[in-house]
Amino acid sequence: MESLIKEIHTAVMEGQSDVVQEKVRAAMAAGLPASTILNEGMIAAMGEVGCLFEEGEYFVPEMLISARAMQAGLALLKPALKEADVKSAGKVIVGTVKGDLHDIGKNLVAMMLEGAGFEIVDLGTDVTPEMFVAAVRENSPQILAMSALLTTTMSSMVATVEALKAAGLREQVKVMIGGAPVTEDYARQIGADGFSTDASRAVSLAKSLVSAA
Amino acid sequence: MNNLERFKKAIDWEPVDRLMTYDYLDNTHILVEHGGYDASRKYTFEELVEVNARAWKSIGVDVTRSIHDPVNHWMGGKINNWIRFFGVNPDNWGVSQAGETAWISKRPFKTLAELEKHMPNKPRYEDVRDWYQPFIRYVQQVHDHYDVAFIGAVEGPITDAYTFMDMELFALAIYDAPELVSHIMDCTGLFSAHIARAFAEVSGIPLLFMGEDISGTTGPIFNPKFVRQEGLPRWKWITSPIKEKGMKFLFHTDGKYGKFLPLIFDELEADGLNPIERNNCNDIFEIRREYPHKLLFGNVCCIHTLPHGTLADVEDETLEIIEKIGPQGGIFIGSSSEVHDAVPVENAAKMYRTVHEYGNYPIDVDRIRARRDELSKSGELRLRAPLMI
Repeated sequence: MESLIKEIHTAVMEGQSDVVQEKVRAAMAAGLPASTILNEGMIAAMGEVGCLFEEGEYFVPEMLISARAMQAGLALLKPALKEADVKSAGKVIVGTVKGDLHDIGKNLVAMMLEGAGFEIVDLGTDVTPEMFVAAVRENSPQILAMSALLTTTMSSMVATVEALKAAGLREQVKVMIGGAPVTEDYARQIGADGFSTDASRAVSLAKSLVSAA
Repeated sequence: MNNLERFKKAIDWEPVDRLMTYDYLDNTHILVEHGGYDASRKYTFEELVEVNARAWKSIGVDVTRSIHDPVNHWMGGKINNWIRFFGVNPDNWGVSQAGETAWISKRPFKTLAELEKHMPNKPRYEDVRDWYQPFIRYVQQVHDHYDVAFIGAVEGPITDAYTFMDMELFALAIYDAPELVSHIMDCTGLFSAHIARAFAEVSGIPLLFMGEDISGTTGPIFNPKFVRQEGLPRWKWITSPIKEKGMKFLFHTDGKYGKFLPLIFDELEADGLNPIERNNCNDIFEIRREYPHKLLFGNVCCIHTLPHGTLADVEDETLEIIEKIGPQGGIFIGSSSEVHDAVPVENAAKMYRTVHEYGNYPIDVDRIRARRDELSKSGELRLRAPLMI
């Protein structure tokens, strides 16, 4: 049993989607609870992937193939997780702000958050403040995560925070921001709850925001 | 001494009369205020080149590589090149524009299996040369008229490949289909190598820039082993014709790229760097200490100081570069990447004016320090205000 979990963990870290699926099937057939496979096998592996990224041992391609392997395993586990009523770590709305079409950073954050057990609602790129507000109203997430790659589009982050306030939703959701020009100072200035320099640190931030809520 | 003569001497580390300014323009307000650009009318390519050159001259930029078109994003031009030189089908490709960014919104593939059916062809030198040489001759001629030196520029083979494929597919293909990555990088590398050769044959300005974005704000995007194995040999295709003609080669990547410096300087033998992104990424003073004989292009911060700083902040940051690097030469001062639309025109103008006012040789370091001291006591520094302990 333990060796199956270890094999799933290793296969996620190495980005071997086929092996992950094979071992997840085997673990389920052996009667391992879906939550154990998820938490001890896949989420733990993605946590280690994040650490290796922060340490400069893993890079964007390695992170992507691990996230893909995780998703391959998760697809098999989802029905069992639903049946067992396993709760997600929280719901996060992600999007790149209005006027900005860059999506790789936003996608990496979404994948890493999903890898950490969060449920993701991805609004895509060029998302207006009104679209963010509508999505918060509709989905009641714990977190709204905004990305901007350009100095010229950062102002849409503050517009979104203001729009949340105007809609009376600001207190219901934590706001985290990221992207090349974004800094901790800027996050503080616009009244966001947190900022992250990369996808791996975004996971720790999201966990801390959810636990503080 | 005009700017072309000054630039040729400065990149060869020969004595010149003053420091020079360099920048990439992506700011329509500067085109309007300094180039006379009128947003209500259409411009031909020739007219746009003229407006850009006029704007740079007026605001005080001595060297550039950019022609800013406020209407058509450069991403469209990239696809046109793939259509023309890689033989891709124009019906299968499209670009979306939002704000100041553009993205490829239509490709004929989403998976590696589909990509395999839509692989680019390798470009032919004659085709690239016949398109590029009239372009660079014309652009340099117009800029010469305004006493602005226009350097050559190519895209790096990795950057062009992941733009062609989409970053996610490219990253996955490194593991799943390295032979496809290799072929596409052969195409993109050859295209840039052909431009480099065509440039070396006719350019009056002996410096080529290569844009290869391989780092993000926290460090390398790709494993340095991959970059060394797949990037370096193709980079050498590009530097080879440049070096043969005794010209200089400038390496560009955004982000924090310290880990790549031995590869860029020691193995590729690039002559210099641009940009030198601040934003907790790189320390230009440390790079100068470590590589004292490399040319540096930058680096007044275009993420913080230029868009959000006061005039005093801009002046102080510019003066610091002049004070600490100016006396040794080999520095071309401008933004840390580009002057984008969020940079107020007066801040950009202040940066260039400061170089022209304080950058005359011999650099008067005492005068610069006195001015910086005055600025720090003036209460006008906001982002660069001294910390009160």
